[in-house]
Amino acid sequence: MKTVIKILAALVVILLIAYLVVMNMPQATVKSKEVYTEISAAELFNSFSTDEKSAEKKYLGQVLQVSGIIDEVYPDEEGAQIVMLKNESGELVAAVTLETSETKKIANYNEGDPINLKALCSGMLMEVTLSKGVIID
Amino acid sequence: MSMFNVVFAFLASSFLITAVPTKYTCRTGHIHVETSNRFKDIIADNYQVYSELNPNTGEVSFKGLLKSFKFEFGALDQAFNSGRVDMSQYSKFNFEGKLTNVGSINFDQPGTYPAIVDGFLFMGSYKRKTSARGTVEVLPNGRLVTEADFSIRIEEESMQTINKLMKQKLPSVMSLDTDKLGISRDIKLNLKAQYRPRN
Repeated sequence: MKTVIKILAALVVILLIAYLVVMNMPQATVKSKEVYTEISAAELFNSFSTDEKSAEKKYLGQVLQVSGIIDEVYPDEEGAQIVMLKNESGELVAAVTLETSETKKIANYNEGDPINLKALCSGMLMEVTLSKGVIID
Repeated sequence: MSMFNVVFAFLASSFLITAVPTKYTCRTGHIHVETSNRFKDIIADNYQVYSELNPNTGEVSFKGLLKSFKFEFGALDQAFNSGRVDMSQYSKFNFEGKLTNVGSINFDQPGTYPAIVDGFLFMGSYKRKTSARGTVEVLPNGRLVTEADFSIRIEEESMQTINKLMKQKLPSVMSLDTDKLGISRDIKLNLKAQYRPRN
């Protein structure tokens, strides 16, 4: 009988721990995640422009390492910085929302600077949209 | 009236006609979504919403990506933002509608105006007539700030579709459905956007 009670008590503790872990999980971040592929923002934009459905199947929800040229940086409603990337001909090709922890780092960059970012691909709106971005030095 | 005055009046009126831009655009619209179930309220935000507003016709549209939603509940956020959740069939949502009282909004005059929006919300093959009340604030710098509250009730057949999906995707031993989870059929949406004038 005592053994059964001990097993039940252990189960309750395990379930309680599992519940607390799930309820207190942090939000998704790309920092510790492996990069699915390295690609330039211009190539990524071309891929979505040419065949959006197939690009979505390949890149949606994947962590990408994206390189590009900064066109503009401005804050969103939450205060997170959005980095607009352009291609060689000045056409906007990607919008990357950075994690708030990157705000200080991005202040060191200027328009026209090349940049490497690791971010989560959300799909295509006017440009390819990526979120939870971090700067790769 | 002298010829000079006529020409001046013509030029001034031309200027006034072009003073109101042909459209306003916003790349950083914010949608806040709230719904509930038996265990936890689900709160999600999307800060990557693109929107356009035509001050002459009142046409207003916004579109966004489902993968851009950030969930307050970390476990859900991690699951939703992983490559494991395939959203390629329903990657986008968009709204196309009209400000039905656009005539009562003076886009030249800073101030806050009440707004009524009627239109359709699209997600994949899903189309739903939606209306909302909100405000349009004309700022002294010519930009606009809009806010609107939408309320959506999921129909019975859509709940059955969710149940079907849960049966397909979850292990059979779990035997869960929307009733058991107490998933609410009511979804509250709040949309905020700051627009820049474009010609």
